[in-house]
Order: sequence, then C-alpha cells, then structure tokens
Amino acid sequence: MSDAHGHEGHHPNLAHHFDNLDQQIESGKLGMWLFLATEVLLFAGLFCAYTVYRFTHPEVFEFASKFLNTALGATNTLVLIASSWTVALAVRSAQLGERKKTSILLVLTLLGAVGFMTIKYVEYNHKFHEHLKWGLQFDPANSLPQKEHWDAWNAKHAKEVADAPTERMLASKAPTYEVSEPGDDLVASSTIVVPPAHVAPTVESEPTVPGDYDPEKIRNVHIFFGIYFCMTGLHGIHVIIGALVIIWVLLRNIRGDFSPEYNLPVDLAGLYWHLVDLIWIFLFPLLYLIG
Amino acid sequence: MSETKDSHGDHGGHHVPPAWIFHAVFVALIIGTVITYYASTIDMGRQVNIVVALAIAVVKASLVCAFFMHLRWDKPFNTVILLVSLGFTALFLGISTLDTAENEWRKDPGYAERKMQEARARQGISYERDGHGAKETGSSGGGSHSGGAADAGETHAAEVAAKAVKQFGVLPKEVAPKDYPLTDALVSLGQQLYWETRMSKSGTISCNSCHDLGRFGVDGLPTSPGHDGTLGGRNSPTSFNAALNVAGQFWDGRADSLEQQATMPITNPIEMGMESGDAVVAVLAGIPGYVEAFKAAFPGEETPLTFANVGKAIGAFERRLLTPSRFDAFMGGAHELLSPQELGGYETFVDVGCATCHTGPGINGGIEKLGKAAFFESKDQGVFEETGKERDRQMFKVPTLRNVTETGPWFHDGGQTDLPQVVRIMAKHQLGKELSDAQVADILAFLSTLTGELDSKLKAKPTLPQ
Repeated sequence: MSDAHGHEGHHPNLAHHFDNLDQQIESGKLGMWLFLATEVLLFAGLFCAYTVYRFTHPEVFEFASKFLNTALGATNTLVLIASSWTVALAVRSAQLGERKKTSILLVLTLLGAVGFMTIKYVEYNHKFHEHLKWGLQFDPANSLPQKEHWDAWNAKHAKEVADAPTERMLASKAPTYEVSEPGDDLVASSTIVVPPAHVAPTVESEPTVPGDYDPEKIRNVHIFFGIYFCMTGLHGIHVIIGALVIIWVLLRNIRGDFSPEYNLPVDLAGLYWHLVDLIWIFLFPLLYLIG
Repeated sequence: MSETKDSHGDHGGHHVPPAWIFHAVFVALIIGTVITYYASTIDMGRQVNIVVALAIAVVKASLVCAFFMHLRWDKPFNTVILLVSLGFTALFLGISTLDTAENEWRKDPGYAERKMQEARARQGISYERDGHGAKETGSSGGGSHSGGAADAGETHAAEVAAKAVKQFGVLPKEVAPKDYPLTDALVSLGQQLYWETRMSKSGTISCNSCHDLGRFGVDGLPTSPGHDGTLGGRNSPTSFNAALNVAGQFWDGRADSLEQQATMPITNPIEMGMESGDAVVAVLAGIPGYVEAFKAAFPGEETPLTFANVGKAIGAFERRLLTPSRFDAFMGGAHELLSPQELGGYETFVDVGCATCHTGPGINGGIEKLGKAAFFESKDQGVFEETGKERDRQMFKVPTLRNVTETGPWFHDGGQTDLPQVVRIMAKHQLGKELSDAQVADILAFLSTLTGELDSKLKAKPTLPQ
C-alpha cells in the first residue's frame, strides 16, 4: 500500500523516526510512564505537606475531616473505579479492533468523569457556602454540622478533657513557690495535670466566632482546608484534562483512526486516567476517613 | 511490523488480557473501598487506622497498576520507572517526617525540666526544694545544698552568675542621659514635681498617685483613676527602673524618653487633666519656690520654667530610680545569696525562653507581639491603637521583670492578679510551652530575687516649694 508520501509497505501510523510500529508503541508507552512518574512526584509534594501537617496537628485533621461528606467522597471513589474499569475495557476492545464497543466504553468513562466532577462541584459549592475555605476566609460559624462535630469530638475526647481541668487552672490558686515538700520528686502536684499536648487548654478568651466553634480548642483549622482544596483541586484539574484527552481519543476512534495494530492513543489516555484514579484512591482515605 | 501472532489474533504482538481479569479487579477494588470505609469506623488507635487505610489503598493501587495499566504484561522497565518514582516519594515523605518528629519535643512540657535535671546530675548537685518564697528574701536558701560537694555548688553558682551577667549586665547607679548633665539640682526639682499635686486639675493627683514610690512605683490597681475618677485603659507601669526601658515609655513605646513621657499624663484629660502645658507652667510660675528651683536646675536658660523642662526634671529624677536586687548582688559575686531553687529558676527562665525577650539590665525588652505563639484575646490592640497599621496589632512593649512580684496586677490591662498564672500564660502564648508546676515555682522563685529597694532619700516625699 502506498500513501501520500509515496512510501511503500509500512503502516500509515508509523512515524518516520521509528524502525517499526512495535518500537513506536513501546516508546510511546515508555514516554507515558516517564510522564506518569513526574505526575506522581507532583502530587508527592502535596502529600508531603499533608503528612507533615497531620503529624504535627492530628487534632486539626480529625476535627476538620468531619466537615467533609464521606458519602459523597465514597461515591466519587466508586465512580472513578468504575470509570477506570470501563477505560481498561475500552483499551482492550481497541486492541481487538472492536470500534463500536470502544466508543461505548469511552463514553461510559466520560460519564464517570462527568459524574465525578458533578459530585465535586456539589461538595465545593457546599463548602463555599458554609465558609469552609482556606486561610482567613475560614469561618464555620454558620456551618450546620458543627454541633455534631463538637459532640463527636467531645465524646471521643471527654476523658482527656476531664483530665485537663483548664477551668480549675484558671479559677483556682495556681501553686505558689511552695510547690512540694523538700525531698519530693519533681512530679507536679496531683490535682493539676498538664493537658496532653494536642488539647490546647482554653484561656480566658471568648471565642471570636459565634456559635459552638471554639478557636481556642482547635487552632488553624483553615490549614486543613487549604490542603484539602489544593489536593482535590489539582486532582480535579487532572480529571478534566483526562476527560478532554478521552474525548479527543473518542473522536479519533469514531473517525476510524485506530486498528488492532495501532491503538496507542487509547492506551495512553487510559494510562493517564488510571493515574487519576490511583491518586484518588489515596486521597479518599487520607482526607475523608480520618477519625 | 511484528510477525508474531498468537491465539488472540493479530494485534501487533501485544498481550490482550481476557475480559474477566478486568471484571475481577473491578470487583476487588469495590470490595477494597468498602473495607476501607468500614475499617475507618472502627477505632483502632490513630496510628493503626492510618496504616490499615494506607495498606488497603496500596493493594488497590497495585491491582490498578498491574492489571488495568498492563504492567503485568508490559516491559519490566515501565514498572521500574513507577517504582523509582514511588521510592523517591517515600524518601521525600520519610525524611520530612523524621524532621518533623524532631520538633515534637518542643511540645513536651517537661523537656526543659528534665534537661536541667540531667545537667545538674552531671555536676553532682542534687536538686532540693526548700520552698522559699518572696516573703523570705535573703534567707539562707544557699545553705541547703546537699549531695554534691559544697565546692561543686559554689562553682555552679559562679557559672550561673557569670552567665547571668552576660544576660543582664550590670545595673548602673543612674542612667545618664545623652544630651544633658544629670545634676542634683535637676534631680531634686524632678523629685518635687513627681509629688506635685497642684499640677493636676483636681489638685489631688501627682505622678506618685499612680506610680507610688512607696509601693515599688505602682498603685496596685488594674488601671488607675484620673482626676475625676475615670479609670484609664492600661495598667500603670512602674517608674522603678523605667529609665532602663529600651523601647520607649508607655505600654506601646510611643514616648521616646522619660522626659517626653513625664509630660503626657499631666495633660491627659483622663489622668491629671491639665488643659495644656501652658496651664501647668502658669500654675508653677505662681509658686515662687518653683521659679527659684527651675532657675537652679536649668542654669543659663533664659526661660527655665517651661513645660518641656518640667518633663526633663521629672525624667532626670526617674533616671535615679534604680533598684539593685538580690540577683544583682549575686551576679556581683555574692553567690551564696541564691537558693538552689532560685538558681534553678534562673536557669529555667533562660531554658524556657523567657530571657529572649526579658533581658538586659532592665530585664525588659522591645516591642513584641502579645500572643506570638498562641493567640491571646485582647481588646487593647497595643501599638495598633497608635499607628493604625495592621502589623502593629497586639504589639506591646516588653515590661521589666524587676520587682515584678511586687508590681501586680499584671499585663497591660492589669487583668491578671495571680502571678503563677501570668507565668503560665506568658509561656503558653509567647513561647508555645506548657510549663509544669515545678517550672513555674522555680521561675517565681527566681523572679522574687529581682525585687530591690530604692534609696530612702529618693523614696521619701520631699518638701514641696511654696
């Protein structure tokens, strides 16, 4: 067969700098995997921020995580897993030359993408309304679930709160110089216990936010939301990019560009989509299932 | 073009997995998600929960990589690329976590205490509490060394004294001004003006009313009433050792010098309430004794009786209001004056970090943020009230700790009446530390050594000119 180049005997998709289609396909895959490695490292930076901050302020994460809707997060996980399944099947059917089936599977994958972004939109919208945002814009005073959060948090930490008599510390006579008898060891007197490090004792300051939320009890909750929006936002951008790539591949498939010999673009689009799914597999438990 | 064919048909030689594998992986992923969810509802302890969730996530990820992403059937090098990227990620997160873990000790309230104990143990001194407090200044706390040799205690005290002198310096007898000579005539005029109630609207308030020389330079009230009884907004700072303030006068440092500060309460409507500097001058000009005193204090000036000179005289007097304390004597060589608790208290004071702000001969500091380490609610926004700049919010001058045990109530609003609580609040909000009872007790013992007295001549009320 000849083509517009006037060449004879090679596959129309074979690019000239490759010896054969096999090499081209393997190179394409290699290149894609190298790119995926960089994507892993991209998200690694954000995961590092997450790790360090959660390590130093576990109470912030425990508390703030309750503002997230676990049901929606779980649904999104299932949606992405399903779309990963359909795109893997689409790659398979492209390899088998089943053009129509490939198109259907790619459309189903796109439906998954749309579903994911819709749920994400609902979640973000809710957060913006409730002022559960990053930085100084964080203001959960009007956030409905906060009483539940405090009840859940208090129930969990009731024992620790009981052991940290912060009101007593304020109201009572704190020890004078004569703290212990000579010869006593240096353990503090038994009636006053230093609260555990992650429970910040309340000092005589009124909460600056009306309602149940007490900024003295748990400080800097907005940092959790900064991390949350950064990570899920970047991930959401990747979902959109992935969806656009899949649309492009779908159109090419409808046009008849692919064959059992050459279906690399479907494969590579699938790889990208799987990465998006992989990242979410880690994001979901780390953000939504704390505490 | 590849020549190989296999049972799956001609597709370029690439392995086409059977569909059931994908279905199986899909089901496994769903199950994994469900397990993850339910595992998170069981409280296995924070660490275990995270490990379980991540372990399941890793299993799911492996299934996706191996089967959905074809790594199982691909060239192995692709897997190597993935593993290398994961390896570097692990390195990144791992080393960052190690670094973070190092910082966790700062949250340990007993850290400084333990370190001090270890250091003392190394020097062979056993640490004994003798319960001496401010009421018993000068008692023989120094005699209660036990365990280690008295020599070791003596050397230790000498070491501490040497360090303390580097920290606090030597207290001068007076703080000489830069631009005028501090003469006795000027100082005695200033002393008279300090007690002069005729410089107030009601005729009953003088500097001494709120900065009582008989009470360590304060009046013992949270805030002080003015000529008509209106209470001020801030606690009256002590005039004792005010000459050593490095960051100006007032709680926000807005007066550059003692001389400038001295004039401001006189014309402040809620303090002494005089209409203006001219009104003050008019009152004083009507008292012949003052006319003479000003001439003597400001020789060579054509009109010595000015409002600025009133401030200058009072400022000059305040420059001699310095109170050498037991701790100064200790630093000067009388090492037996401090008990082990007080010595340890000084060390705690430095270890915990108090000395980063409360330092120098005045044991005071510059302008710092109230609530540096942990937010402190304060209606009074400090320097911001003066400048209106956002970055000046809650910035206050670090006050002197000399005579602090006697100059309560404490803080800029006089809001704290319990000194141990003051120490705890400072540690928590300025240093981010939770102090143990032992640490608080030791610090208080040290603070009690900073109490000193004025020369009786400076303290006494002079005869006022008529």
